[in-house]
Amino acid sequence: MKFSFINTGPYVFRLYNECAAVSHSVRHMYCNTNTEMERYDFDIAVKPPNLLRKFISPQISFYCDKQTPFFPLPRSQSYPMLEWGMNWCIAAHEYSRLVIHSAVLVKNGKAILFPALPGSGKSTLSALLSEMGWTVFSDEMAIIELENLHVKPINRPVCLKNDAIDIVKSSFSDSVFTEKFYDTQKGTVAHKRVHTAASFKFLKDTPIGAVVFPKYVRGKATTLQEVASAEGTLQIIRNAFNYHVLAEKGFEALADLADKVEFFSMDYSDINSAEAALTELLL
Amino acid sequence: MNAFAKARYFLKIFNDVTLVSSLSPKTLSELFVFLRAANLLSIFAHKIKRKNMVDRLPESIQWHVTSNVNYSDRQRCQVGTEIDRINLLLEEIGITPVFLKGAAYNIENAVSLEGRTMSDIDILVSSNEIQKTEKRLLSLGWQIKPLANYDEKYYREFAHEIPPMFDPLSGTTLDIHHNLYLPVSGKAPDESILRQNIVASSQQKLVLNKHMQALHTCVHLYWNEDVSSSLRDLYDFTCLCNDNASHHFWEAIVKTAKTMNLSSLLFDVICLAEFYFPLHCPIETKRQLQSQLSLFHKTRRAFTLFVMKRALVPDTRVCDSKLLRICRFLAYMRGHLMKMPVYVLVPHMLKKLSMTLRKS
Repeated sequence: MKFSFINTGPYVFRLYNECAAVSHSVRHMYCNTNTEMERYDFDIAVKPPNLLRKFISPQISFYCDKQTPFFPLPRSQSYPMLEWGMNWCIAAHEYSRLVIHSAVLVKNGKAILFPALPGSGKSTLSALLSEMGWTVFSDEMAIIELENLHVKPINRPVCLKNDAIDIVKSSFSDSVFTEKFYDTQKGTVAHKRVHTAASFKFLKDTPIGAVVFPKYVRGKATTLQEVASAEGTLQIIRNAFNYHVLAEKGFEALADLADKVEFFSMDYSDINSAEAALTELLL
Repeated sequence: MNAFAKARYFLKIFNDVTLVSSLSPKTLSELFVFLRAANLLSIFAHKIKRKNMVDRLPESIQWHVTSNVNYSDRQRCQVGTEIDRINLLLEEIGITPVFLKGAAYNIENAVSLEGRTMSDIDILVSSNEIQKTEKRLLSLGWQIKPLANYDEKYYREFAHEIPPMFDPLSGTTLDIHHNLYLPVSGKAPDESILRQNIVASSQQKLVLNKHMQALHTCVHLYWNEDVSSSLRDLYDFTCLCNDNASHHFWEAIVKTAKTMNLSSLLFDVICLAEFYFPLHCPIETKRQLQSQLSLFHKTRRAFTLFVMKRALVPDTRVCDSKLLRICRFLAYMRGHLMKMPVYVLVPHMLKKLSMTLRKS
């Protein structure tokens, strides 16, 4: 069997793949996938659910070990399915750290969390800021150590949706993108690489400097408004994947976070003024 | 090392967690994938924690242990709350449910089964209380999992049971049984024998007594067509026997097995448990069971055990071979044949096949 390895930092995936299009995208988004890793956390596969669907209206399924968490999708959506499957692996098995549905961007040795529900523009913000001197630790999941509240870098591409794809592509044409995948459950999606193996290896767990709840409002000037820590903490809980399982440990970690950092809501439409405001927050 | 030998090696480590400190990161990765597929990883994580071995693992792998301990501890707490709630809402209408399998272990708090997780709560009520139980739960907002018409018919006609129910608020799934096995199989024990083996736990919840719990586990793991959790069930059986080992226990299990016509099943499961786990079964018990075997069972026993030993190896890419896949398929067919007579099974399988084809 031919395996490749996807090293995202905290989690290593061993991938068994029967789809050439997936291999191509994986090679572009992750580096050194042919290097055999010493260890791996998840044994995953992308392959047709059965012989029939290999040839007739081809479909593809994602497997973790031999479990299939999702219904099959058309073969043309294989790569997005792999990325969503990898998200599922982390969300369904990580209960040693707090996992929040949040983008994480780092500048000057401090991280800002951007917790928000899907469709709030986290990924677009991450992709744009990644070209403006910020380091993307994740556009989807903040992985927070319970002991010291440091957030872990995770080497994953940013998943752009619909109009955001062309906006980001036209601004940063030198960046590496996958092809567009049409008619997925999130509309049209494409992925943008934000790290190389060389750049990622220097990233370290980073303390959280602030928590910002972003909202893109067309035509609105950038405004940052402080949010009460109780309300901010509740919003984090609403966006947490595993707070209900971590119970007391999760509560204590968030209580510590509420003591240490400030919470803000940010309305923006212009990325340059938003970037300036966020940089100021970390000074 | 072939796949079957590798599976045995992984289970040797599961049985003696002190061996983990000498393993390479690659072997540990494979071990964790194997145990996760067998639903044994949380139990293993608790064993590592109890032996203070977490620090002996590479740092990048330790999170698996912590995650599994945290998850199973939380589930144990939540299942405890759900057991109290289900017990109360059925007692209010005069039904006292008997908690089975994982729920019973949760009530009894067995250390050896610390970390055992479950996907649903199983209860036993008498057959004439099934409809009343369903009505009560529906009136409280519980729902029946949406099923194809045929699957619903399967539950209600063949199993004489209701499909699994779930509570949309808590997310709990409840399996309601009135016997340990399907009536259509002709092998379901007399309900009165079950009733004689119900005891109140220290929490005043009803559970089966230890030897009946062990027999129930045997039936569940050895006569089921789905063997994906059978290795975990075999470990449950081992713990139930080892934790309660006494002359009285072994005498009672042999006697009850004979009454329920389960002696050959018990003997086979004991052999399987001794093969994979450190089960301490007295020689005298095995002699007694062996003497009860029919000639027919004796002749086919070696082949059945050959197949079942291999079928119990969880389906993963880290331990995979054609032989294991064939054995799993044979166990699947055997499980169906045990559950229903051929004249029911053939139309059932054809119907399921057509449903699968239509679905795909």
